[in-house]
Amino acid sequence: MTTSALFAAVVRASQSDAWTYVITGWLLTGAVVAGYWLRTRARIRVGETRLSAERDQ
Amino acid sequence: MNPRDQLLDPRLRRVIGVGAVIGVVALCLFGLWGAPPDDRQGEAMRLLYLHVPSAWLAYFAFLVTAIASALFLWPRTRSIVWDRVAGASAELGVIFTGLTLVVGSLWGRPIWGVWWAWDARLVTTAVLFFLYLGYLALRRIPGDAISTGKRNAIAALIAFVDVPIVHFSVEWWRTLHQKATVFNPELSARIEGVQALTLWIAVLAFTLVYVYLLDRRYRLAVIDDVLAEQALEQAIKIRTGDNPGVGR
Amino acid sequence: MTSPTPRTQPRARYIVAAFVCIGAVIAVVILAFALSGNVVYFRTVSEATEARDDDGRFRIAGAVVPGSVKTTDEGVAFEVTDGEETLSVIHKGDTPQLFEDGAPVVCEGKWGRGDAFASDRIMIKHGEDYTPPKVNTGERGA
Repeated sequence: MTTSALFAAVVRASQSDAWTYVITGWLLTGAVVAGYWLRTRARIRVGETRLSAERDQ
Repeated sequence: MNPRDQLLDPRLRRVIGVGAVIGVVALCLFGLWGAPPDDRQGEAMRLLYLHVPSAWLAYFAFLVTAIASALFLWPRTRSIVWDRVAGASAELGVIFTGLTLVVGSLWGRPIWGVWWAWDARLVTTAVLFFLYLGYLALRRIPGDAISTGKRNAIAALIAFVDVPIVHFSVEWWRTLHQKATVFNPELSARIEGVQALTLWIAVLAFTLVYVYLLDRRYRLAVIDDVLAEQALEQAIKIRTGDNPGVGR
Repeated sequence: MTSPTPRTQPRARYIVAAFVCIGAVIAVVILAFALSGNVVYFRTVSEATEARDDDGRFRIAGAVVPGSVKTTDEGVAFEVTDGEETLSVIHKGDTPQLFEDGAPVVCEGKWGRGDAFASDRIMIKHGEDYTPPKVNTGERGA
């Protein structure tokens, strides 16, 4: 009961301000793209370290 | 060692990276501040500066996957390069399709009044997401390079059939989703001034980000392939009794 | 290349990949099925009034007739038109933020008592045109 009331309050509060949706969407997009980039970059670094280590053997 | 270690020349990649950063900064300035809110939608319109370019990139990434797959299937142009490009582009396409769906949903709640509608545009887009998720799963099934490459390429070409269906769904069927603002059959943009400029900045910035990430994902694929090759050689050496650790 | 390379891949990888493939196919089938009933997402007011004996759920699209919106205990009552036919809608529940006179709406529900359509969900059908806010200078075409 309290949870649903709280949820309804949150929905109502956010409904009144389009900026809530805008900021959520922009932050989410930024986080996903930046996260993908950083993860790929980290995996490339690890891989290149392993490659050069094996070349040195 | 490999047909192509780097997709782009590193200098070109750096230029594209810098361009992408400038584009993203410009997009933030215009999208969140410079562009005026819409007459009817108000501030919620700012979500479309992400939703529209995400959708454009999803189409474009899957087109690149389809072209690369066709080049792999064609015997004269067959190269592992195309298989890697297809895989890298499809992964980015899935990410941008996902963003299109989520950001679209965030726009739909204040404007339509619902997070989701089972109309043709939304459903075909969700199908697109799952089709390419399946394609990426298929790519993970191991096998020899030529036969898995052919199998992947055929799957990518089949999945691409959904892209025009998604785009034209708003023309072919009645949907809650609006029709195309820019790439409509009349090719007359129904957006002007700073709002149109912001949308073009967004498309340019997203495209640069895509090219940069495609290059990085390709590089990662090359590294993974080389490491897997080396691991295999090592395993064969151990199995045949030739211990590489001895007699250096 | 002729014989399969003896790979030491764990069997689990094949199983996971196969399950993901099957899951993807099932998801596609379910979505395609859901779509089949919704290829025509809404009926126009004229089409709806022609099929009054339909007792299932469906959606009606039209514009809110200006001045017709009245608040009720459970929601709102208003008239919706497609330019040819006009219909009363009795709506139970909240209305979207952009619900107003003249707004293009899609109402979901079924035929209620009398001639009215009993709706329990209203969506705004937004167009593809975007315009900056009009500057109110008090005169036209400033």
